[in-house]
Amino acid sequence: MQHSNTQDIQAASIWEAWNRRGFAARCQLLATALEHLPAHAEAALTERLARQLLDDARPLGETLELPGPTGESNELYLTGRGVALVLGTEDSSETLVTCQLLATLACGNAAVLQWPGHEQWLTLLVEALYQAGVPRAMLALDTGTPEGQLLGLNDLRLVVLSCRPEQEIALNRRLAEHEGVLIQLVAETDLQHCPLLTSPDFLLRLVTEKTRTINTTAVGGNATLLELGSRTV
Amino acid sequence: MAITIDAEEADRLELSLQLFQKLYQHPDCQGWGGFGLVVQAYSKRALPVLLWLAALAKQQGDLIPIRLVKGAYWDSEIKLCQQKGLDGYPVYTRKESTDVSYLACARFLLSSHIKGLIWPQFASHNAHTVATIMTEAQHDQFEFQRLHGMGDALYDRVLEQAGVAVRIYAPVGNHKDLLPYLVRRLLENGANSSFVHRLVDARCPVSDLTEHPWLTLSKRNPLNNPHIPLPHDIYGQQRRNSRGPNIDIHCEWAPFSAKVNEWLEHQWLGGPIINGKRVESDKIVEVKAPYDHRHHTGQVHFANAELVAQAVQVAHDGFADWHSTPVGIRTQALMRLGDLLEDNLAELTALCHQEAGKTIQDSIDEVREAVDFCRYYALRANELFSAPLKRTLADGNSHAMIRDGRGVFVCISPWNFPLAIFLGQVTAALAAGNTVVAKPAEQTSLIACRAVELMLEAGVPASAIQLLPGRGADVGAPLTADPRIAGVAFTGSTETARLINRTLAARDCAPVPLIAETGGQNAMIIDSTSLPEQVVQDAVQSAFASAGQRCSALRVLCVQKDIADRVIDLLKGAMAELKTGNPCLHSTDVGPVIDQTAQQNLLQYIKQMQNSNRLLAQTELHAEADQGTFVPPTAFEIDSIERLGREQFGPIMHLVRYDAHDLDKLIDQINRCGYGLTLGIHTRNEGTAAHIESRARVGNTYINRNQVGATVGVQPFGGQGLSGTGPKAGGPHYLLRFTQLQPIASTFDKVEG
Repeated sequence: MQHSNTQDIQAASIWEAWNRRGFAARCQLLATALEHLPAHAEAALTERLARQLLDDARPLGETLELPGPTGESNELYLTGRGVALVLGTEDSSETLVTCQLLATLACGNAAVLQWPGHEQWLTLLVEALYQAGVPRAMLALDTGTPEGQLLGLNDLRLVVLSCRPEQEIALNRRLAEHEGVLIQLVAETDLQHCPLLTSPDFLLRLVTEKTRTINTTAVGGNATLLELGSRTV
Repeated sequence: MAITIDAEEADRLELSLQLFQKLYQHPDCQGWGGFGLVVQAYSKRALPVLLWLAALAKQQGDLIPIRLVKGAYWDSEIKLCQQKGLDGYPVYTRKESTDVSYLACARFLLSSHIKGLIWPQFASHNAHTVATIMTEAQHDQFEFQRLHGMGDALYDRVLEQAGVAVRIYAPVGNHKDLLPYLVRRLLENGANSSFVHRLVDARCPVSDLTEHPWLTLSKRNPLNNPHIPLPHDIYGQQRRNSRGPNIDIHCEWAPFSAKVNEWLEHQWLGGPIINGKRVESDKIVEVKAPYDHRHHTGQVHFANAELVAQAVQVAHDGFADWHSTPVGIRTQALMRLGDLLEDNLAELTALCHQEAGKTIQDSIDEVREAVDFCRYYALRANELFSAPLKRTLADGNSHAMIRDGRGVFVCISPWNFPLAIFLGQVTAALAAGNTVVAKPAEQTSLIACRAVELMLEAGVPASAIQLLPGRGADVGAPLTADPRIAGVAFTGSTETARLINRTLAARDCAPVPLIAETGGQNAMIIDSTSLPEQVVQDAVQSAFASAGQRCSALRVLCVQKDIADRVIDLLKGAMAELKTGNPCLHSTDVGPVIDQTAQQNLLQYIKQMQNSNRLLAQTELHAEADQGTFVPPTAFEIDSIERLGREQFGPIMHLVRYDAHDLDKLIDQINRCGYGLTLGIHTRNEGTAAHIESRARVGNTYINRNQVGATVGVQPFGGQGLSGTGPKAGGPHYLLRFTQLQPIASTFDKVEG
């Protein structure tokens, strides 16, 4: 079986295409994979939480029109941040890793996945996602790269993991030493209740916002506005 | 041959009248009788202007030809007033009001006592208007005017029946100059309200076309157009747009200017404010005006480590009270603060001049943005905190959850928006239920002190807001190292953001939110379909307004090769017209940079660039520039965007040429810079604009306009990559990052972090 490697993940043009697919299309695609997830102890919980996440992700694709001056259009929309590292630790569960991975992908990010000691199970998970239509270049399973090297990945924007609180603190320190972009750390440390994963704010940590402003009065005037001025009521 | 001065935007009316008077009264013009002016009937000042012109003619005795038109910039007039938060519009908001105004002006111009003073020239293609004028006229001392190719049949009848003179006019110029004119004509004629459009519309009954506009207007209730809200009301009932005076209109400028002048010699005193009291320290700094170091603005006491500890303790102790205060009470104080800022606009404008070197319009915009932040975050907090949220958690049960503050937030703000960003961060944190320790940029501490005094006056409790002016090493470092800090909002350099991140991470506690807004290497891409005049106006505004000291400022103008020479010519002309100088003066376009360190770094960069790159243009500095920290607006041509190093935070623009078929390579290069804050696009091709916008990894894209001056709640502001973490300031997601969610009947040890 051939999985993508981290080099493929860094191909910006492929990420752009994935990001442009939109939240609804990605969620639809990821939902089909839920029926083919590899077996694990809490499969029902995984499916329920994953469906909730995908339900939360779909509306994030809606472009928000913002009020503003007449003659200008202002819109806000969300896109993926870029390359994300999804890490499992000795305290992670299949449920957490699967849900965090699905959320990361649903939000338009490319993902590099690593969970030492669970490679066989991850291979099945990744294959299920490929089968569902996730582009191979958007998801790489890494089995041997040292964590330090992964944290130095070019264009890495996000690290998502589940771990103990002290591991979160230590990893945060390592990321802070990074010289480039401020890499966002999204860590679930209450592994029993998963308050972050189930929070409505969780997905917003995985995306970035874009604003698009168009001067519709440019180049000779604005017929819509002229018409607005002539309404008879 | 007669000459007529055309009419432009309403803001330039007074200027054009002054110019007209000067020329008309010049000895060379006296006795001519062919020097005329265009008057726009959509202007509410049309009749007074005609009276003024008649008086001028009576005084000198030379006939003034007046071309009466309805007006061509109606849409822009409406938009500009809304953007500036003015009190009203200079134009009527219904077409029929303009038509009535036109006929009223015509009646005045045709009246017997105006005969011999003004030569009326009626430029209209509206048959009803023409017919009314012919009916009203009691003499033949006037003319009609029509555009070549329009209204032939109408004016053939006029010539046949009345024998009134009809002048035919035609635009003269080359293709690139005439195209925008042609497009405007097409749009005007295509508007549903246009007589020409209605004439060819088979569904429009003749009775409608022939109805007198006064009769049409009298049926309207209200007389103004309710679909065009007043500038203060564009955000609806819930949030009032911030107000600003129109400094281009004398009756608004004169009283405002007088009030500002009262403050220009004032000496402000500032220092740490802890638990509502301003305290003194042994580190006193003299504040000098950046535009003239001979002017002393005031004194500020800088905080030390001991005061940092005190401030954090007060804020920590105050959290319990503040976060349990009902959100409506919290936000009432912020709403009052917005009103107080507007009440104190004159003083704050003067302080922005004297401490930050901001020009008049920049200072007004600064205060307005702060006002908008207060109102926007107050409103968002009311929405977010008022009702509990239902959520299914991991246990499979539905839980009711409420939002809450996180604790003590540190707000570290920059000098380039000393009031707006300072208050933006602080009000967001407070609205969300946090207490705040604010550390303003050391260069603009007085503005921050005044802002906190107004906050206390507005009713923000003394224990909720602490202010610590001072140096980064003395104040920022110990603050961010304190384990009681529950989050940091920072705007400034990418390097400082990294430093703060490391200091926060070094603490032995769970990571907390760091909301960082950092720099940019912002580009504007213009293709060959863009309008070079508009491009240059927007590029100059984006690169040199505020002396280029905006995160959003244009740093590299990317011009398609085919139009590069034309754009460069225009750019040189525009930069030659820029005026550096005292920012308190209306005539100044570009003020100083903030301090000597910034000035020396920028001048050094310019010197270094001159050795290896083509200097396109450099604005000459004014006579007394050496009394302050000025840097001349400068433009260089570079051969590749990849030559750009770190951001130069000042009035320096770079220009690169690109081949049309290399557009995607250009976007890739911009993306590879790693920054991602703003991008400007100028094109008349919607597909091109959409393609560039979707590919660019930037936070804010502006199409066919300048790329600075994001408005709160309209253009949420913030970037990605090296430009910041998000969420965007002034956007719907910003407050969320200052909060945590708590189940109402808490069974969990820890909540979302």
